[in-house]
Amino acid sequence: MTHDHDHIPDELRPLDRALTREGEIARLEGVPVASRVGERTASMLRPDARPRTLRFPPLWLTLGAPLAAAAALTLIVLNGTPNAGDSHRAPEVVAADLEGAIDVWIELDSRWANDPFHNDIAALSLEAASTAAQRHPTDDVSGLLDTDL
Amino acid sequence: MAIPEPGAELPPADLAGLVSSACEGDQGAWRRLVDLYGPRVFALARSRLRDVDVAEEVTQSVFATIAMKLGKGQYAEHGRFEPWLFRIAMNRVRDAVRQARKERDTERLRLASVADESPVSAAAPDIAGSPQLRDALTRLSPPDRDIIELRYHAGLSFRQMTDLLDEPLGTLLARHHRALKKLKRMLEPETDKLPADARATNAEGRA
Repeated sequence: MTHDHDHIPDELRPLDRALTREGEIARLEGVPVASRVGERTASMLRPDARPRTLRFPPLWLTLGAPLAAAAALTLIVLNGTPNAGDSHRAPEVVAADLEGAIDVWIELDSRWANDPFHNDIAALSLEAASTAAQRHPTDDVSGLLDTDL
Repeated sequence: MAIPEPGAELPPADLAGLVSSACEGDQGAWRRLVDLYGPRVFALARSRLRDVDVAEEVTQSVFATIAMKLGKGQYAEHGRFEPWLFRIAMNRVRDAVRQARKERDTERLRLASVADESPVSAAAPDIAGSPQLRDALTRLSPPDRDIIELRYHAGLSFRQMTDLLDEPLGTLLARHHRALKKLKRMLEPETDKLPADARATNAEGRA
């Protein structure tokens, strides 16, 4: 970085050089930081990346759907199990019910595998970070830099 | 590793092109912008907060805000990208300073900073990177410190600072000069601060 040092008196030039070096050291430290930040924030450029809940199912649905499917399967199995007082359903009907329920279960399970839980957590975290980042009404207002700390 | 060139040296048309591409969702252009300005924002935050992790958080927060505003088409500061970016950065840094004070965490930050010796600074023969210089910076008034850190850490030119701070160039140059003089006095040994006749009296007394 080149600075115009012409206005600086000779007596202050050593300090000016030390501060310039100090700034260079700090910026050098910031190079890998910038790389990480660029990577993390790139997806936030896309308006369709927000709100994340539009791209990812809500957490309660992700967790609840497999549980509901499991409960439904259990009910079907219980209903289909022959017992002393229940002989009106033919075995092939029960088998077809079970097969259908298992298909539903497999489909839900594959969906669960394709949309893993940690994706949702990551999306929620990013959304929370975005929301936090938006809570700064002073960003677009100039002239606030002389605010007393 | 080369120190990235500051955005000030990027031709305005190139900068405008990068910003425009980023507004359209070009992630390559966005990463280039962050590579250019990220180290400068980090350096500013690092100097003020004296904590690497908090400085990285602030840097991320700044660029998250910028990305969201660009992506949503809320960038209305055409031709004034740098002042806009550093205004956001300064506000975030101040928020983080307030937060750190609120948590009464400043002592931990100070210790972390003193313990964190950069290998580059250790090799430097001058006072750059020294705890004395960093301590002296903390004793400057906030407006003086703004000038010093925007100049040396964020790497802004005085002309860019006029846009950011809304001050005439001459005023900023004078403030910079005064801030440097104050820093110099803080870094001088105590005896050097005495008037010449007082130093002579002291010397006679010791003799």
